[in-house]
Amino acid sequence: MHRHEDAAIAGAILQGDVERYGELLDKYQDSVYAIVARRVPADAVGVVSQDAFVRAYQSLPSYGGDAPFGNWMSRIAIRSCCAYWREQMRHRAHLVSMSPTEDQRRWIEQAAACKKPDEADHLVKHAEAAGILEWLLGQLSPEDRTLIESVYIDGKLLREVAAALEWSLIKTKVRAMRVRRKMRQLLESIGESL
Amino acid sequence: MKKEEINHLEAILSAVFRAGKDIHPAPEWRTGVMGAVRRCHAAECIALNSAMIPVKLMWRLAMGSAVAALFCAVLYMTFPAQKSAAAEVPLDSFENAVTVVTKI
Repeated sequence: MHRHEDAAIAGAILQGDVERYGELLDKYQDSVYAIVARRVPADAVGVVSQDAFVRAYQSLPSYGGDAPFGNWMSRIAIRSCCAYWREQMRHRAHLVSMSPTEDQRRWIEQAAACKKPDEADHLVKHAEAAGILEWLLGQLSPEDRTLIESVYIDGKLLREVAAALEWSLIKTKVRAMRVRRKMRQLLESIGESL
Repeated sequence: MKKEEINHLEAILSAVFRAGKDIHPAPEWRTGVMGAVRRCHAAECIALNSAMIPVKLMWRLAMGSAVAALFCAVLYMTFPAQKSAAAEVPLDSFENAVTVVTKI
């Protein structure tokens, strides 16, 4: 039902009724914001989300209405995040090349050793946790980062991520395995240095 | 580090990724996006119009030619042309033909 509604709205926008884009914006802004907020720093969420919606508007003629608009939009949001990291990489900003701090290393030791779910919940809220995650993801290329965030952390389907990154399913599978191995090696290297 | 420790660490980091990012856009953000989309729409319209310029010119040229032809036809019907000298001489012989040519 929603799909048909969204396709009808998209059709009206393509006919020139640009104000109806507000309806799609109201429907999907929270989900797009959530996708983007997990992938880019807090101060860039607004800009990247806006970029995703403008890209979606420009690509609207390619939206056939056969897939749900939300899925199509989330692909564009993921692509916008990847473009953000590519841009950051180009300007050499936000690159995390330093090794983890002493507190972060201690956090890893605690997290690896913890067995109880209550303890794990407490560890998730720890300030060091976000720093470790940022450090780990900062070691990856923008594409690898997008892939690992989407597949292993966000739990998206491989074919969805393949479509978002415009890769074949095989390439996505192989690359996901390699990147995961790299991340495990990074974690192990921190663990060994403790 | 053992394999299960790494697995555990991965699970906790996944939870870190999902936690604490439940933020919602501010109302002015929506206004900004709609403004950007409107600008984009206006730019597209301008691009479309500039692409249409040769087509419009051709159309105007064709319409102009058609009107001019119609005007000429009406003029011809209203004021029939003077009979030419050639029409007065029957072309039944070589001499007549020569006369026609010399008259012209």
